[in-house]
Amino acid sequence: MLRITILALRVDWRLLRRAALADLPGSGLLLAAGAPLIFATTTAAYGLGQLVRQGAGPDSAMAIALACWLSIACSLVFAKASGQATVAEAFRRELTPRGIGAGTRAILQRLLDLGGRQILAIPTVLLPLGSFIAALLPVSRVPLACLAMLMFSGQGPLLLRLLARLVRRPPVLGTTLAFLAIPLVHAPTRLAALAAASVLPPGIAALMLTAPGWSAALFLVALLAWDLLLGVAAALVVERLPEAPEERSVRGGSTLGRLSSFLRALGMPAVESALLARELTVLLRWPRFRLGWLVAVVLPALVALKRAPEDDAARLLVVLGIVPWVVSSPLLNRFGIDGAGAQLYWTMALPSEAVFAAKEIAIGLLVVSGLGAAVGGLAAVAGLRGGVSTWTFAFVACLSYTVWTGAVGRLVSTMHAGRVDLRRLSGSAVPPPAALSAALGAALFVGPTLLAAIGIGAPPPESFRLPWLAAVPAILATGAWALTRRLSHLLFVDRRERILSILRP
Amino acid sequence: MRDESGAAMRLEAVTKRFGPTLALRDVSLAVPPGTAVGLVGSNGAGKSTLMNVVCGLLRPDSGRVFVLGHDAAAEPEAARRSLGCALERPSLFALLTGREQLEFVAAVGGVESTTAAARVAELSTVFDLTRDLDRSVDGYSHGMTRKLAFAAALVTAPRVLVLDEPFEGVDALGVEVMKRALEQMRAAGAGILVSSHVLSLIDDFCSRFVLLHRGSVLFDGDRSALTDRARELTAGEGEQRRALESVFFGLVGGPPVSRKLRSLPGGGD
Repeated sequence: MLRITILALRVDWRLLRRAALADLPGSGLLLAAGAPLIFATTTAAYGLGQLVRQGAGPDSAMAIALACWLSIACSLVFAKASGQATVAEAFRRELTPRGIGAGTRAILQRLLDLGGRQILAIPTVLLPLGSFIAALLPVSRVPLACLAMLMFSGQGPLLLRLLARLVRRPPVLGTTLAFLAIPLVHAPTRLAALAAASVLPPGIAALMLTAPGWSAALFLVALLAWDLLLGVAAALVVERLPEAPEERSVRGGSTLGRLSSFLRALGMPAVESALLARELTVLLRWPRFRLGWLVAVVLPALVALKRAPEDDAARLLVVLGIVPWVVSSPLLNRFGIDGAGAQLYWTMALPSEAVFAAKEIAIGLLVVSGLGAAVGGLAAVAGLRGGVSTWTFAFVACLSYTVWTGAVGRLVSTMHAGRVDLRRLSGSAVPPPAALSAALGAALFVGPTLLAAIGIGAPPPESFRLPWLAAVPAILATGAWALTRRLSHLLFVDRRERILSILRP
Repeated sequence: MRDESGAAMRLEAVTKRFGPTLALRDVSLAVPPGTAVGLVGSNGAGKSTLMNVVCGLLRPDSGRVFVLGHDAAAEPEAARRSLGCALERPSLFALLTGREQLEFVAAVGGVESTTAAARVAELSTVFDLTRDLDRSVDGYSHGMTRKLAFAAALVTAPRVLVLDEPFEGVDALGVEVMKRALEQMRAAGAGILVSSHVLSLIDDFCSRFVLLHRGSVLFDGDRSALTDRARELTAGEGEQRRALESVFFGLVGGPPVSRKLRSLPGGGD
């Protein structure tokens, strides 16, 4: 354990040294240390908690799971948020100053150059050390799991990128794939195997913590393999690997073209299929949306792992509600991500209904598939114990909320358009006036639904089991849709000058 | 109401205000089929406003715009079906590649996919965009962006082209390719309205000229009318200029352009 820790520390030091010597901007240094920081904070907090509690159970698995996903997500966020250089780029750069102590001096210089930001930068560098110390404490297997994930996820894009190349080699890929099956073969019960398979790698982490003897090590190997593959997959989604553009140019064609052809083959008219293909292409390339999508799909499964929803309809509603809440936000600022491209809607006199519909269908498809994934994940972990009517109500309510947001978003997007910086992952993509209007709109949706639930005599959680209650949000959403259609067209025509004056750089 | 004049594009007494500022004042002009009309004017003359009105991004406060006989306000889809626009701020979606941009414009412009693919390939080749065609457009240089916007305006093979400063920021080779493409479109019967601050380019390429100044049309005529007007304006002057330059400087006026700047080295005194 000590040797592994020293090795990890050396890797971390080398990384920082290279980042500093390569003369990266301040964000590069923060980036190099930032990903371990996120993981370190999580694990250190957990380690302290464990010292107090002296025991690991389902909560341990939950903490590990959160740490695992958080570290993957945050390492990718840091990589993109810097906007100037990733850790991988830092690693590839030529090291100009050489000699004893050059790295240390460079790092100190960089810290000084950060000015007031050293308040953040210094603990950023030091905190990973704390996590390693926490990992050495003799408190069950949790530190081992933390360290393993730190090695693979915490170091972020650098390791992912390096290992992504290795994984392409057939022997490495074969071995990795073989490791993936370990939890399914060695899980103590079928239910545990199913849990592991449905919410990997947190499920495997849970197995590792409860497995007897050396079989824990087997789960650890499997965990690393899953972590690696999921990390690479996430990296492929969030930031394109260096080889990707070459492959695309060799293959030719375009995502938009292929999607558009597919939709036309399904019988969709040419203009509508092009608009929908464009929306899907843009949304799936927008880093902020992809991250939100990842969170929307993963979070319900984590909540389910923490505690099965069972009969708790309200909890189920909240869990499923995460999906439309996270994913449908682009509905509230539809032209924001179009930028100057939005001019085409008017220069080519595209029908406003087709423009709006394309955006709504694109997001709707992603919300529905997200809800499907969330329901599937919850069902696999917790079973459909709430009864079909509760699940139906939750699903229909969430879908209706998306439609409602779409209807509100038609008006809000034309009344309060705002430019979106597509390279930023932080901040809101919805202008404050639009967010306020949307909040009022959400109150108008939730209020009548709750009133209807109370009106039938039973308090809301119990009344959610009545299947016909799902008709209330559905009617509300359909009504809002019908009411806003004509008005949104008039606003689209009338407010184009205002919208474009905001969107054009 | 339809326009029966036979013009590819016609503006009829168009007025546009931005608050207290009068950007266009009763502007009327016509672009006949197979003709390239050059729109010139100093900064703030209203050229871009006029282009934006024609392309549907701005609504005129009064007056009408006709494209191939269709009233752009009453029949916007019919009017813009045959209109290609390359505006000062290119209409490009940041997260699409150059190829996707062109394919999208072709698809919503009603171009059949095989024809669109052929046009995308040819336009990207002649404008030297092939290497970057599968890159996101937000990584393009200014010149590449202008060339891509120009190619996007052509990809639907429109019968009317509206080009606002199309040559700005484009290299000499690119300008030459653009001029040849426009010449081909013009010969095929397209009506072209093009603006530029480079008077020599407009003078070389266009056969009809419109001079806009502070929102009003100061001159509108063909080459012979331009030559006559230039002769009137330069009578008695020794300096030799192109006809368009003579009319521009003669009508727009402004500060003396030939005077030396005394505050700078070589200014004399």
